Amino acid sequence: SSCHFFVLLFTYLVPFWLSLYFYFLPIFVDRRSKIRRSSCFCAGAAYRGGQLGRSSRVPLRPPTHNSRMVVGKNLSAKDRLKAWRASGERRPAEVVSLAEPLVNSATSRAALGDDVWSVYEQLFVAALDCGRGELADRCLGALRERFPQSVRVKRLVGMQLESVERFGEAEALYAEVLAEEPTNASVLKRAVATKRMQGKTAAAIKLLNEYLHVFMVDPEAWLELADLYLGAQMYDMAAHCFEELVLLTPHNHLHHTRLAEVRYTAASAGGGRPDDLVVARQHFAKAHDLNPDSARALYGLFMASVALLSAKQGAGRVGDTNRRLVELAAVQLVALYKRRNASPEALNALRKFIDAHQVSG
Amino acid sequence: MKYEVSRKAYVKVLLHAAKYPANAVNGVLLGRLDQASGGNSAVQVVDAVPLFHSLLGLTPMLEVALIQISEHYEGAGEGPLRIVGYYHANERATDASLGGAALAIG
Repeated sequence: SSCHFFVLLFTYLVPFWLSLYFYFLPIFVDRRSKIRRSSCFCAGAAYRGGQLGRSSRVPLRPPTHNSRMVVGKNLSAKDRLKAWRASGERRPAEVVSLAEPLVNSATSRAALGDDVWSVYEQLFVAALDCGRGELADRCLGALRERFPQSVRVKRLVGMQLESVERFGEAEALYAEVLAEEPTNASVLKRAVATKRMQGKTAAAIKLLNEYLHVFMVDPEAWLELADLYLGAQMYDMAAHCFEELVLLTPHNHLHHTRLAEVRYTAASAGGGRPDDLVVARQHFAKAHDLNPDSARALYGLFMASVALLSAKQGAGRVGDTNRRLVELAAVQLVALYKRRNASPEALNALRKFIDAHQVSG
Repeated sequence: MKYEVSRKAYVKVLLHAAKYPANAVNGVLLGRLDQASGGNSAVQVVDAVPLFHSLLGLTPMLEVALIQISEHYEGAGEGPLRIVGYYHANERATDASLGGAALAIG
């Protein structure tokens, strides 16, 4: 029975020893291999350019916003199409070349499963963009057959009407849909687009403002409205749109840059507010802070500071900040060009540009 | 006043517009003023530099671009080129109007 005792003791203690072993294992492995330690930072490493074990001098920044996703070459056609659907990019020629063979062959249509309808929709829009009317017809036909009562398909019918400039019929169709569903965002946006395509900018602006009263959190719509206002040279209103965008997505350096550019333009057009240049400078600086690789932000910072310097001759302390910002922007620009392996002509052009703005003293 | 547009400039302008079919685009035209052709001056458009394809009316980058272009091409090897013109393509194919931005830059 002492044998039994030891067996029992061992049975109870083994888990204890094992748990101790696993508890201390990470420490042992950690000391032996660098890879284990940095695997916890994989997410951070992806932000830092995918290099594991990079030195901690590089600050962790969220990824810069690219309007085009980098899609790996090894992804299949249907995965690429899916990625583009998710990001909403407009790549008509590539979509047509990838998706047309997929929908033409019965086996690949079957392989897509339920995704085939999304692919039809994507291919339809791309075909309209490329001017492939008969391909668009085919896709629309397939969708109408499958979803005869669908509002989403009606919107596509409207897009086709727009593409052949039958704007009156398109608007009538959208009005019909909106009578049943007054808050259908995508059809509301198509109504705005129809106005824009006819060149009725004022009507488009009015419609888009009504849309934004309801759907205030739509960045795409604010961007479109800003574009419309800029076309009409209404800089204050465009600046307001970009301010809304900055409020919605404060980490997006592009919106800060755009806001700053609009303010700067308002200042040079002469009709803006007195603090336009300062606000522009601040937002350029913020954009640079969010994305140190943005040449636009640095150029903007440089230009805004130079403009402030010349506007406030002998303003003492304020002038000093602007002077330091001009120097900072110049230094950072040269460093950025070198970091990106700019050609000697480009670097030369940059240097001449900086010298052309030689500030006195 | 005669205007001669080189093939290089023409093709560049068209390619720029074709690359961004859904946007308005603009850019500058570079060339020389030829005053020696029998009393009539001719403007030779030799090259084109595309500028923007979104939000065309904004001045900061435009000023940067114009300064750098004029500085770079004035010192060019085969003969200095000046900014002699501006090209602009509207978003809609049938729209041939010059908006406020185009007029201001021009």
